[in-house]
Amino acid sequence: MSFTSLNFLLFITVFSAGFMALARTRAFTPFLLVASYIFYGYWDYRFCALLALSTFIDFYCGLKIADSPDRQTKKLYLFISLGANLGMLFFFKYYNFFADSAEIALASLGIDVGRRTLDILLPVGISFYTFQNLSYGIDLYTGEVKQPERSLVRYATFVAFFPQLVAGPIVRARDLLPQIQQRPRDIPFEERFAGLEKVIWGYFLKIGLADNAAVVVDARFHQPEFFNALQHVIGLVCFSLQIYGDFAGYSLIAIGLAQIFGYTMCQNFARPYFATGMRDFWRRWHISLSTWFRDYVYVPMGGSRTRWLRIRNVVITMLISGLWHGANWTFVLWGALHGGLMLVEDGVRRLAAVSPVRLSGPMLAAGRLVMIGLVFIVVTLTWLPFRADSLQTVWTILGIITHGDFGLQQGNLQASSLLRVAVAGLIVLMVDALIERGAGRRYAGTNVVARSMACSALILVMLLFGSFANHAFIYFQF
Amino acid sequence: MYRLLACIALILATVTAMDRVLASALGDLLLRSSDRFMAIYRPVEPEDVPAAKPDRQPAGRTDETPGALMVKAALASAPGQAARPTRGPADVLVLGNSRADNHFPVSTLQDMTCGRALNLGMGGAPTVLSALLWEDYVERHGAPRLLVLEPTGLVDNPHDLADLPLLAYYSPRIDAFVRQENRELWMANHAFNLMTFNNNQTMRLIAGLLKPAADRTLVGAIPEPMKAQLAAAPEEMMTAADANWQAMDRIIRSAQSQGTRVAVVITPYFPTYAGKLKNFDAFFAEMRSRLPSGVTVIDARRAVDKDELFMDALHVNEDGVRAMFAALEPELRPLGSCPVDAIASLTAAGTVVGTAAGTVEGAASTH
Repeated sequence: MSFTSLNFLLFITVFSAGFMALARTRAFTPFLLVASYIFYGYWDYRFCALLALSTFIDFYCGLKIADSPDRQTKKLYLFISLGANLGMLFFFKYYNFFADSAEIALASLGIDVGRRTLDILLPVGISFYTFQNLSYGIDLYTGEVKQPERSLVRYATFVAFFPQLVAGPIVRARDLLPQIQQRPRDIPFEERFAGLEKVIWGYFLKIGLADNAAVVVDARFHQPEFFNALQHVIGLVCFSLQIYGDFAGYSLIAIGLAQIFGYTMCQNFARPYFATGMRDFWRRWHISLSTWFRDYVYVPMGGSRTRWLRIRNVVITMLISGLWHGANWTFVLWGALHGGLMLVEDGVRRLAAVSPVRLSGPMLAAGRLVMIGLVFIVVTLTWLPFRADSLQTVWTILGIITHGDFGLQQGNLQASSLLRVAVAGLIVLMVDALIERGAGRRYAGTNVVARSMACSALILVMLLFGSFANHAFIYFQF
Repeated sequence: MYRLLACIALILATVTAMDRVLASALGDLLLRSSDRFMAIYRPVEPEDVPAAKPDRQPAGRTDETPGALMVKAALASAPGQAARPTRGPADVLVLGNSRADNHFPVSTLQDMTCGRALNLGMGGAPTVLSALLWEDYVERHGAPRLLVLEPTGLVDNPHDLADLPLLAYYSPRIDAFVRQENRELWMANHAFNLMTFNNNQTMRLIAGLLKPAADRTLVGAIPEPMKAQLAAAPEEMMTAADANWQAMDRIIRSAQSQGTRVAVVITPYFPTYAGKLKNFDAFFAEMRSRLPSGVTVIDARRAVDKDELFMDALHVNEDGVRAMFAALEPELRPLGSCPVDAIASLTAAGTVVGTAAGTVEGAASTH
């Protein structure tokens, strides 16, 4: 079920009551497991079977990797785990993509192989829990995780932990499993309240910013021909805001909920649109995924030991990252663009390192602002293939933008939604800028009543300006 | 955990209290908007409601000819003054969906009918919603002299609420309708009153606070990709739900019972789109057959035919509205309150109007 549905409100109320009654008992972990499966099965109960199968395979392989006396057997079980996870992911997410692409490629050579695609339902969040399971097996093999989890119930609870199951953050076993083993911590009230604030801010990002921006964006991508260059630029900026509000919003709700119940999860977004470079951007955007790729793809391939390795590994990692997001060439293009931009930045950094010019004081601050603006523009442009449903749409919109008609259009331009995006966007910009300047710590020391009033004000803004059309979270499809 | 629950309770209590206070203040503030819908709900001063309407045709009486009524109107008032009273009900009321909203600029309508006009056309509104607006208006202000009804709302989904929910704050009738059609929305709006104001209509009302409401005629021309899309679109049927037919019947009978003349004006369709509507003529023929007697039907579906006069498949632009009114004038002007001299000069004006009028299909007919 979605965090923005009324069903979830009911679910979390019942779960909270159960938490208060059972948190100190041995029944809590099974209760959390059942609750997580109900949460997940609400989309489609059949998804639960796949989740359970994946969980069981990794649990079993984990035990075997830990208990096998020799390296060869450990490697065998690691490969079974990798094969099972990647096989499931490939079948459900990529089979049709590759079959379709192969059909088109063969057709262009004059070979007709007929339709080979299958009618496959993509399980929600499969990319997230697959990566979580993969990291468990690899960490056991490399020794990052010393002891395997010997309780199936606890391991299944770690995989299915409902706040982060369908759209992350991708939590590593070494971070979450010990918390599941020990049951919820008895955390101070301030920490729980901070969790509540995260949840409210997450909802604001989703309902106030992302869902209003979605109205503007969807219209432009649905019928791109009807909008001019100015409207498409507005649409792209709105998509930048939408995807940030949507995904950072989900992550914050997940992290905040976990925190309220005594679990700590890693930060997933750190004000990415304040990045001063592409490298910096990836340190701030979807942190749990970028660190996953760094630790399990980039570094094992040799990292940046040599310049050539750096180029090769950045390109491969970003292409895989693009494909992870979706089975479409548009995502591959998006990954390639980011890979290319990171390499360009490497080159610029090398040039800057040998340059005699050094900025300081106000010039440095101005330079930072320019870089923030530049990175935002570049990232916004790269979102075009990410959002487009086909490469054809990408070229159509690029064609319209390069045509250069920046005049004011008349007609149905979602002006009301644009106004709401502007209101929510300004609030988000202001809050993010304050946190960026270190105001977060000072705010945390403020009186709880004053902070409750701030939360109330945010909810009131949401009631007046939010979009309650219940749009699905974008990352559910990944 | 209990302290956290106490904080949640505090937040909820604050939100609920502030929600009531802010919604009430916003509701009062928006009443001052120059937006047309607020004209329905703005409180009426006692002297605003006219005690009697001597020039109004009594219910059921059909012995007086339109010509006689025009003479009466001309004698009753000097042009441009009493014909445009600043208080009491509007002389001309327009109802319908966006085609009424965008095709009947109040200023043009006032010039043509020599009376104060109010356009209550609402984008996407099925006729069911027009009936609610009509009932609310008549209940609060009395009936107008002339009702112009653009009937395309008949084919809109009768369960679509369009921009109506905000008006539920002011109207128990609309509130009951919202409750009937979308209970979830109704409950949300009652739980948090501010949500009633969370819609496009609020933005328009706020705009109406900042500047006087202007005519809502569209500017621009239908883009080429849209033309191509319409040309490639499959054929479709026009169908109307029973609820919409009944609502139209209710509006017309209510208007006639209060002495209001009713003109059903079918405004232009983009020719390519009209060609895709398989029962385009049959649908409007059926509509005519369903109308009670005494209703004037002005069929201007083909009164505008140049592509550049359209904004999209269903709406003409500024120039299109001008062309449409030129075609409507011979039938519409006599239904207004213009002095006889003006009508005579119109007749004498001759060729331009005559040519435009020639494009109005079958001219006007009275049922």
